[in-house]
Parts: sequence; C-alpha cells; structure tokens
Amino acid sequence: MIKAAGLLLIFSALTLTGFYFGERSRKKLYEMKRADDLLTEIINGVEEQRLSVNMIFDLIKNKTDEETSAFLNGVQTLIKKMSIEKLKECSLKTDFCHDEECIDALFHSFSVFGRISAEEQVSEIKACREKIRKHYADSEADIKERIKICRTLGVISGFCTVIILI
Amino acid sequence: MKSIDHILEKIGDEAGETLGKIDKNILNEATEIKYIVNNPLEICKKNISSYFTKNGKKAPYEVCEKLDIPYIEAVFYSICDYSVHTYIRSICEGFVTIEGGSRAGFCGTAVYDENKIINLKNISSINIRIAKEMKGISEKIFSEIGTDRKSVLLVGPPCSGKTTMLRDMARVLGENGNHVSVVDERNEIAGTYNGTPAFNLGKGTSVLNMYSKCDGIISAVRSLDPDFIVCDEFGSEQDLEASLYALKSGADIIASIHAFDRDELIKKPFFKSVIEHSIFDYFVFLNKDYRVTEIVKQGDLI
Repeated sequence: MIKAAGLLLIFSALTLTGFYFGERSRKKLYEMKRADDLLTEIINGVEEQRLSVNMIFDLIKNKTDEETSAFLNGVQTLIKKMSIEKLKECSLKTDFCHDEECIDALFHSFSVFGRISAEEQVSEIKACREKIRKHYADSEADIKERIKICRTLGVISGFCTVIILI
Repeated sequence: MKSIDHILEKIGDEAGETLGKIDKNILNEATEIKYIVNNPLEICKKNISSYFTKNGKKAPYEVCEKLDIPYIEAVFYSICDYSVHTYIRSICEGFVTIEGGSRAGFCGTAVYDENKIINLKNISSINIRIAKEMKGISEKIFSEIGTDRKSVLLVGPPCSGKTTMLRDMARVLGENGNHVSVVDERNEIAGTYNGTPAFNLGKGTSVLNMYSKCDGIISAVRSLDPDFIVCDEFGSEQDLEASLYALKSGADIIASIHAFDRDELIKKPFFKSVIEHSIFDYFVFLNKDYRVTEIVKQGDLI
C-alpha cells in the first residue's frame, strides 16, 4: 500500500514538473500579450483622448494586473531619462516581461511616448506593437510545441520511473 | 505658492537644478527666464538681462556655459509634462501655460500642413514669462475715472504691465459688484491651468479661456450678461466689430493695445474707427515701469 502510494507520488511529481515547465513557456506568451495590450492602451490614450503620459499610466494602472501596475510605476520614474538597461531591470524586477524582443519594443515605444506629435507617436508605437505581435506569432507555434513536449515528457518520465521501480 | 515656485517645481533635471541654485531674491524679482541655444541661461528683470552659469552663479555672458539642444529639450519636455501630444495645440500657438499662470513661449522649426502650423520641432529657445499679480496697481486709474460704467483702452509698449493692469482692473471691477467677463485669448490674463484661473479676478468673474476675442466677446454678451468685458491685445477689425456689438448690448470694454505713445496709437490703421464709433471713453498710457503716465478722455486724445 505504502509502495503504491510512493509510486503514485513519484508519478505525480514528475508529471507536474513537466506541466510546470510547460506553463512557464506559456507564461512567455502571456507576457507578450500583456506587452501588446499595454501598447494598445497607450495608443488609445494618445489617439482618442490626447491624455498626458501620467494620466494614461494612471488609467491603465486602475484596470490592470499587479505586474503591469508595478511595471508602470517603475516606468513613470524612468520616463525623464529612459535607458534600455533601466527598463529591462524594471521589467524583470516587476515580473512584467522577460522577453528581450518585447523589452526592446517597449523601450522604443517609451522613448517616443509623449515626446512627439500624437500621430507620429501612434504610428511609432503601432510599429512596435506589430513587432511584438509578429514575435508572438513566430513564437506561438514553438512554445505550444514546447508545452506539449514538456507535458508529454513529464508523463512519460513519471510512467517510466514507476515501471522501473516496480 | 508663487508663480516662480510653480516654475521651479515644473522644470526638472539639470535645468531645474540650475534654477534652484540661483538666489531666490533674483528669481522673485525676475520677469522672464530665457533658454536660448548657444547662449547662457538668461534672467530678465524688466528689461535688464543677467546671465548665469550652470551652478546658478551670476556671471558675464562670455564666462557662462552655453546651453545646448538636449538641455533646452529637457526644459521643453518638463514644461509639457513629457506629454507633447497633450499640449500640441498650445505648442503650435507658440506657448504653454504653466500652473501659476506663467507662460513658456517656444521657438523652433515650424511644421506646416495646408498653411497651418501642425507641430514645432527642434525647439531652440524657450522664454518663460513669469506671471505677476500686483494687486492695487489700477488704483490710480479708478481714482481718476471711477468704477462706474466706462470703456477703457490701456496703451503701452511691450512689458509695460498691460496684462497685469487688466488683471487688477478685472479684480477691482468684480469686487465692486460688476459682472465681469474676461476673454482670455492667450490665457495670459487669468493664467488658467486645468480649468482654474491662477489669479484673483474678482467676485463672480467669468473667464472665456482661449476663445478668439471676437467669439469670446459675442459669447459673453449672449450668455453672461456682463457689465464689463476684459480682453488683451485689441486691434483687428473683427475686435472692433465685436466690441461694437458688446457696446450696443450694454457691456463696456476694458482692453489693451501695444503702442509706445499717443502718436503711435493715432497712427494705427483701425484707430479712426475707434474714435468714429466712440468705443473707448478713456485711454490710459503706461510706461515700461508699470506706471500710468497719462489718462486721456476720448475727446481730448486728438
């Protein structure tokens, strides 16, 4: 009985590890989507209401998740003198986004945000958003494949370990 | 909080640090702060300029560090709250109003679309005109002409305090129970920031902010039933027509105009019409020291 419980535990642990790594890969996609959504909100704030940078950030913070809100707090302090290193540090620290390409696109967006005319900003930020979307599309198939592999490996390794132990 | 404190709060980074290091007495008396590319930081008190190093020390022009484009851009972005798109209309008009009523005027490269400025790029100079509220400066005028219904034209050269005088006149007239409407075409009289005037313009004074004088005067007459309409920089045919409409509707006009003296005023092209239609009862002449030099009745002008 104890042996069976132990085997079940080992099987579950290895399967869950596989699922965990799978979910970590899925998080990358989620972060890209989050960066895309952030830029969309910024575009709307600039294009439709011509709100100031701080007002746009405050509006987004009111309706977004904890990570985005913390990230925007950090960006607000950086907006006067933005650098890619500082933005990257802020993004990693707040767990907003870990993807290099996304951070690059965000950096470019924040470099023009509030500094040029609304039309120019919107076109620049839209171009950055397109980059993120393309990167998402390119990564999506890979990541989905990776999720499947991680899960399958988790189940198989759990199953094999159990058989070996039996 | 004084206008200068709002400016100090607004301008950030290196430029803000420099301003912060300058003797507060100098800043309190300053009328303009100028940032011009390849020139040092300049602070004017009336028409006397002083130059400052980046450490906030007063020094001869040649000794002071010259300002570069990134420095001026940093000031520009600070003034615009790092939100150029929000202020673009104002920037295209050439200025942005800072909280406290001061105005930052910009020069740069204009971008046109169909004969209209749609953007200003490569900002190369910024001139901050520090708004001043000088309560009581219109005392001399009112002691001579009284506060009952009369139209007055303030005449003076640039920096003679015409707007400051208008502000005080609006306040006094408002305090005396008159309905006053201020048509603030360039947001100079009231210094409105986020909808709230920075200055005391008297009890119950309404501010028509950023209206053209013509539209503002007509709107005021139609909707506010004013005793007095106060406006700055009078001088076009449309202003004249709108004023006639206001006078016919029972409102008096308190306005200002650029002119160094009586001769220059008389030579102005629209002046004949002003006299012809008896728009103003009094002409008040100001000098560069914010002083009233002459108060002339309409009939005595020519």
